[in-house]
Amino acid sequence: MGYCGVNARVRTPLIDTIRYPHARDTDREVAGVRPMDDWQSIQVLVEQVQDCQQQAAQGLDGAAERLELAQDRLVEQLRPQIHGLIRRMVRNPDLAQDILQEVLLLVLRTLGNYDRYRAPFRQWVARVAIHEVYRQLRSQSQCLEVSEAELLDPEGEDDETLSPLESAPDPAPTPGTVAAYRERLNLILECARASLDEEAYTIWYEYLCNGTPHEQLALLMNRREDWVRQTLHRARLKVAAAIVLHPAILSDEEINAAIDRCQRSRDPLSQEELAVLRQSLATHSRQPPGWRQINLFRQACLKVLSWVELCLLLIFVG
Amino acid sequence: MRDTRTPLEKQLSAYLRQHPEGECLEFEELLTLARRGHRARDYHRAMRHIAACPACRRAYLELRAIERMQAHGLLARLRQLWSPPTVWAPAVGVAVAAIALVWWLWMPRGTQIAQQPPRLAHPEPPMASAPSEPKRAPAPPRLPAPPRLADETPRATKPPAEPPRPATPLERELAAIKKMEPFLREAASAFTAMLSSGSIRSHTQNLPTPPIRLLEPDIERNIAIAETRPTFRWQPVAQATGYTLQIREADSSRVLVETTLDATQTRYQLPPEATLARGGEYELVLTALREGAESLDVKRRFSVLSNEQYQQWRWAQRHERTHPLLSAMVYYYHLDRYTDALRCLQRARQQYPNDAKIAGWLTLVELRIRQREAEFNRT
Repeated sequence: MGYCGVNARVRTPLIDTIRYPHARDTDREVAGVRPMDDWQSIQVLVEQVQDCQQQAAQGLDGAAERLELAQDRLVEQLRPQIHGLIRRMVRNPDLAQDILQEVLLLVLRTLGNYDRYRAPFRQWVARVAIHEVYRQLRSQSQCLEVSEAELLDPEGEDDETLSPLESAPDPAPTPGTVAAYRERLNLILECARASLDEEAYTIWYEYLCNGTPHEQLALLMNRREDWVRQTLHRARLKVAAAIVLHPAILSDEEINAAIDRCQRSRDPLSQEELAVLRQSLATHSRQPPGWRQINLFRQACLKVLSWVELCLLLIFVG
Repeated sequence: MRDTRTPLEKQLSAYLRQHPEGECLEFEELLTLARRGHRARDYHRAMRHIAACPACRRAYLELRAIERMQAHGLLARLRQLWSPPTVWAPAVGVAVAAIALVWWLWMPRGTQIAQQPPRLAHPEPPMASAPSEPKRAPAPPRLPAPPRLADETPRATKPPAEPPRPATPLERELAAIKKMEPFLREAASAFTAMLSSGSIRSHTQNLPTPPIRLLEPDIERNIAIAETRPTFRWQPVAQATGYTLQIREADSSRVLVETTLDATQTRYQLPPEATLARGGEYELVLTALREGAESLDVKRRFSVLSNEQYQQWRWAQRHERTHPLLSAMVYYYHLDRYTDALRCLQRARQQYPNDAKIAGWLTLVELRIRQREAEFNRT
């Protein structure tokens, strides 16, 4: 039995919902059976081809012939779909035809890498097509500077592994020990979401995920670098303050331990920063200071948070 | 580029990468995002997914690059149409000349001059890093136009004796630029606006003087420097028994260099391993230790020109003689190089002695330098 693979989390057995494509062109419509759209039938074909590939690798009788037939059918159905995608990106019809051939060959050659449980085939093939179009256009316009190129990871640009969709996810840490830890991280994200506006949150999020430098952030977000710098800096300060003020994220002991570590570092809190931080922590339910001292407080929070991770780790290790 | 995230932020990063926000983007969504940018539906949600999902990120960036290359290809084809001599080219030329002549005849003289500057009115947003303070100044939409004379009448009733020419030295410099870069228009527009908006405070009487005078690099009078491995030099402090010098990142306060020097050493060159990053913001903390007296210290924030700013800096350097006003504006507005701007304006004053605005701009830059000198403990 095959799986549609539309979403790894919703693995619906195909046979219960859709018919196989070879039956589609006949008039044997069965009442109550939902007809497949093009991509669904392609998905089924892809899974057939993958199965045939496995059988051919095992040397089963007739597997090679079946594989060839399945591949022909797949190419026949894929061709117009991929051509449509490529034409959305490339204006020149001749170039689009050339790229189409390359993409079809590439898809057949690397189909073994596609994991049906991780992503639908249309997403995978769209990324293959995008990458191939990018590669072809880039090779044709060597002299043209494309600023996005510096954002792209140069590694693997020319390889044919093509898409990180193929790669397995990072191994998850042991569930028992990290449940509380994850809960805290979720709380931190909620705090950040609540304390930042949409745009600042997006910029903070991008910086958080990739550590993107200001210049590249500006390029990515189509913003000016100085604006990005200021927005990000303010966002980090606000989030740091929100984390410190949230009693469910960090306990008093954890913050005090972090302050101790910070004070022993090369960049300790100044007397004023320490005083305003202690004052806020001493208040009931951790109230932020008045507006005159809020920046000082946020700065102090950001410094202290640099030393919080160790505390968290120590707690979990302990 | 060095990663400036705190350990906690890195932990969050690892978590988010395992749990990207939302589902992977479809081709159409990616294409819309690449084409429409901020105007795309659910832009922020999509960008957050892209931040955490390497596959979508790569596809998105490649699509953006494809769009850019396609646009460039279209432009190139349009240029090709013009390159070979064709039969219709002279006809088009004549038509354009005729339209220009009609337009020139019908436009009043004062309006013609005043309408030139709106090209500066909405400068294209550059990607370059730029100093914060000067850019905060509100930019009125156009360069100040020369006053209209009382006896001037519209061109329709009184044809001009000669075609219009750029009236001010700045307009002449702009007109003489072969390739008008957006950053030039932006600098000219914003800088000329500053004088009228009075964005620089004029009271500099009571500004404090730094206790330790820095001689090199010139961050005492400028915010940005061009070199990535500067040598720090300062005037000796009386009764000093030694000095400590610290360079740290302005955003994260991460210390890059910390060294203690004896009283005779008033010079320190950054080691190669502490080379500063282009576009980075740093803080210098220099402390003079004194026996029996309180130590003196200065803190100076400074930045290193980003790659794009560096190109602008090179442009300004190359054009200091031919375009002193524009160079000064680029130095001031884009690069935070106030002393360079001052030098260019002084040169401009010699070249254009009759231009009254230059004196005002000189005052503005001098005031900014005084203010910068007083910013020795601002963090």
